[in-house]
Amino acid sequence: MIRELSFIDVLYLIAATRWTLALTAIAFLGGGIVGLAVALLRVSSLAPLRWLGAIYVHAVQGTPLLAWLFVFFFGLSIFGFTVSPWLAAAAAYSIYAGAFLGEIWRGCLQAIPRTQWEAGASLGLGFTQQLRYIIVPQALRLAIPPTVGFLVQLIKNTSLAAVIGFIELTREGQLTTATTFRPFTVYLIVAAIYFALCFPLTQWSRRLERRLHVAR
Amino acid sequence: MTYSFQFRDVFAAWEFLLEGLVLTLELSLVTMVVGLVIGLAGAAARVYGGPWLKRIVAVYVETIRNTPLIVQLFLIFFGLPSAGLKFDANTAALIALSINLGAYSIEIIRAGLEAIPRSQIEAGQSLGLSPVQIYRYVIIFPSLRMMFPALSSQFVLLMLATSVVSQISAQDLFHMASIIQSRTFRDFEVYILVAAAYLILALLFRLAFAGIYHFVFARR
Amino acid sequence: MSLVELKNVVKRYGTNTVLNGVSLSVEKGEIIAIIGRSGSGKSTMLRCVNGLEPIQGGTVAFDGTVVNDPATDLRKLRQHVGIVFQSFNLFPHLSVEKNITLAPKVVKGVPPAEARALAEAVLRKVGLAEKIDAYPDQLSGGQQQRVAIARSLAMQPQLMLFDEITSALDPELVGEVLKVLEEVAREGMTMMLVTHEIGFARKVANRVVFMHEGKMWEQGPAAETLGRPRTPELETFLSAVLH
Ligand SMILES: Nc1ncnc2c1ncn2[C@@H]1O[C@H](COP(=O)(O)OP(=O)(O)OP(=O)(O)O)[C@@H](O)[C@H]1O
Ligand SMILES: [Mg+2]
Repeated sequence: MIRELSFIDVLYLIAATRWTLALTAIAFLGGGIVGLAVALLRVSSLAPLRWLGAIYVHAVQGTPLLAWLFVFFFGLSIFGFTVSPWLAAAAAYSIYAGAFLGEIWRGCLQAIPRTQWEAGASLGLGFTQQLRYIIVPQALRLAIPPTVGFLVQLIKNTSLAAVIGFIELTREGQLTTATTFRPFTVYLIVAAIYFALCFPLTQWSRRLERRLHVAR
Repeated sequence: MTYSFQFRDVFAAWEFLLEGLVLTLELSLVTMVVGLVIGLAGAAARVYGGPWLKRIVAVYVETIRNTPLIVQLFLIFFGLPSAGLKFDANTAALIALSINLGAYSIEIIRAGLEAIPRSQIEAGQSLGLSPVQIYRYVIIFPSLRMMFPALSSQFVLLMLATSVVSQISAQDLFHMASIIQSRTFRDFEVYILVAAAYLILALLFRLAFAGIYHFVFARR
Repeated sequence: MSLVELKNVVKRYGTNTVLNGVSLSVEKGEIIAIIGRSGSGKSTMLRCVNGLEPIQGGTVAFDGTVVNDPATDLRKLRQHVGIVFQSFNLFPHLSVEKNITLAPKVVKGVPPAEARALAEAVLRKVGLAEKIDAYPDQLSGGQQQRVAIARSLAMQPQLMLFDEITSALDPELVGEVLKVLEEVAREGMTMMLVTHEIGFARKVANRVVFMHEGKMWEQGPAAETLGRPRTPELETFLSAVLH
């Protein structure tokens, strides 16, 4: 059934944006947990743990996110699991975001001079105490701008979940196109919504970055 | 329930995979060249151009960097025909990828150009170097060295991102995977294999970039 | 029993032997000044005493505990051995009070109110009571170094290590830090201090140790050793730093 593109379609697109945001939130949460573990593995004092972290990062950063989505959505079903798009997307995005956040945070941890660890150790603090009271609070300040920057990547990349039928902004755009045959206008609106979400975050991340540079 | 892995059917379709691999490689390499050209021109415009040129480039960069590649791709492949511009899937893919990479390259190259401290340029001047010599030895070479790591990881990301062109039925590696999947029903094996293929590609790219860096920059 | 006992300590970085069989014992209450050319291994030796550097040979013992024994709980040991670094190494994100009370609170479990009183007490000792709520970047170099000393003192260590703690300071700030050091010395603290301030070493130290090429080259009572060096190397070193 073909119909005209109307204002209501625009509202539907805007409404679908909430699933984009929900998926971003889940990906950020899952990715944050994985990323924290990866960052800690990467700064561990045990070499095998560091290798484990490095292998994970290289493997994930060397494969397309699309492959992870397909493996979880189509791949796991053959083991007899029925995987919902939600679950597949949550798993794939956690793995993907975990590698990138892990690398960002590792960089921030390693940007804190070794002498800060030593000063803590010399006062009798253990590894986790040094991490918790001395290193992490300082690294956190450095981590905020690039983490916000990555959030933009994440929002944009949730669009890939459309290909496994996850209904978010891009998928809603495809569906609207199918009924209205106005792909140019529809995708332009979709792009504009993404821009409205991402651009302020990009600017914010830049501002934070600049402030950090001034403060140093 | 146990599942027995079966790669035989999948391997039997190796010609498909190879064909897809070739297109993925072609797309990546051509896009890198075009993206680099856009990046150099755009960065030059951004740093040395007039106010209007600067603004236009900034709008281009921000628009591309704040919207998803797949939407850019859909807009070009599905959207532009209604404006009278019709491309086949491979061409549309190449255009979308180049425009996308171009925007990221501009940012990276611009940052590299702006990172050269004034004092370096002044030092060059006080040594009696001509403007061309200063440009070559004091600005271009050190900034290229500085931006090279960021640029090469952007290139690897781009190579992986080419997989989205399968969604407009360009016959790349990822698209071939879905063809094999529909024939063999070996979903898991197919996508694991394809993921491994991308991983090897990514490693080869990184190796190649490290080699280039070593030969061009590290020995001075 | 000596408080600190180094026996034939060997430390290498790759093929570079930095400590080549160093032996030294320090009695309770002693103040040892360690002097020597740059690169002679002074810092490295100090860092071996509190286990910051693993060693390749010999033994380091503190109060009967073998520091280089893998079974030794270094966290426990370091509660009794304070160290102050050339570059202060204060925690920039914490106020002076938090810098001082962090370790007493999380390592020793001192309750907050008591910890604050402790911070006040050690800050009075270094003459910075009014800076308790300041942040490190609001302090001069000399003040930061005095806070670092106070931070160490707050753990009530049995031994304190000082590694060229005035070298990073502007000349006019050196005096205030040395005065604090003297004060700490007067209270009977056992101290090992690496220093380039020969005059200060002569005045405060009981014993002077001269290190050369990773070896304990010459040692003896401060005035005597500095006044009449027995080896040509120490003589050359002294004439270089004194003139
Ligand atoms: N982490 C390290 N890795 C490799 N070599 C090191 C390291 N730390 C110190 N060294 C080397 O060990 C030697 C002794 O260094 P150390 O810092 O103990 O000297 P120092 O006597 O304290 O000198 P200075 O007066 O300059 O502080 C030097 O040759 C130095 O290059
Ligand atoms: Mg030293």
